[in-house]
Amino acid sequence: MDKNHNIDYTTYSWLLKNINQQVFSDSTNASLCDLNFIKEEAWLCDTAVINRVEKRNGTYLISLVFAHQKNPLKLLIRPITEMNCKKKAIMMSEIFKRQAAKDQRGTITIKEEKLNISLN
Amino acid sequence: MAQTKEKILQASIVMFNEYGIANVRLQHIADASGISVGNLAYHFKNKQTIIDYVYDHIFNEFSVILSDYLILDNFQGIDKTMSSYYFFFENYRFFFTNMFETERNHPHIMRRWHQYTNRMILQIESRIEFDIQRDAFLPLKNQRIKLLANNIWISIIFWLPQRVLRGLSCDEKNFKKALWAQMTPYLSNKGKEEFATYIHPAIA
Repeated sequence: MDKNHNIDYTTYSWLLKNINQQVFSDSTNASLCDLNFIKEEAWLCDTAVINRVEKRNGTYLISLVFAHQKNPLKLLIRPITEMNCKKKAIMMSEIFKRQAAKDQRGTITIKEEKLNISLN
Repeated sequence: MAQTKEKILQASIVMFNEYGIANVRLQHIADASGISVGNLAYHFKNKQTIIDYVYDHIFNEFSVILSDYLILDNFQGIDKTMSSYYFFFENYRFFFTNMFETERNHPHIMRRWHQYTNRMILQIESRIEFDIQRDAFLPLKNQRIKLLANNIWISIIFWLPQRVLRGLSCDEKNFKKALWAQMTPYLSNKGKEEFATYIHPAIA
């Protein structure tokens, strides 16, 4: 083969064997626990998404906060990306929020009293 | 400029096929390309550069055939590769007629040929292993696979020269027949069915 892409015969025959194997895919059945993530992440369907922009190490870190509508202690913060411009970061965070939120039009509001927080 | 180079390339291949590399002079190539020797010298400084350029072109084409490995996973894939090899070796017959001369005068080209042909044998071996895996071939021992691959390779390379030596005409159908004849004794029932459906009607 050409100087730039010359591979030895052992590697080449190994490569051919792998191409052969690709046709014979091993069709093993999935187990039920493989679908656990659906159950574990199901609560995310009932969350409000809040966009958060904070200055960190000289850049603006965009993260999304997923807060459960009924249980305020159940929340998840997911850092998405970093941006150098504050305005851009805010705009992008709004876009990310609208993408992630169940209520994409933002018409559902969360009222504090509905959360039923005990102040004791 | 690219057009002229292409013209020179095609004319060189025709001349090499007809008279052999050693017997072709720059004047012959220039005449066949329809350009002056001066113009030819502008593009290629000497005959060696033309030979290298022609062989680069040949090796590129050979790479394309090698890269077609297992595009089709049935016997039609093997048949297609056979056709590619047939047209390749028919177009570049001067390789055979100049084989020993090339080995003597252009060792760097011969070294590249060795690499390509060794990969070709590895591909044939691997293809047989694949067809054994998919039950189209009878289960064969490794030694037998290597031997069969080697015989098929010999047939691919030397089928055309032996026809020329015997003064017989060369055609794709007979070439394929000769190659399939090497493989048919090793076909399983599934392989025989596939051969009867796809290949036999085309080469009978």
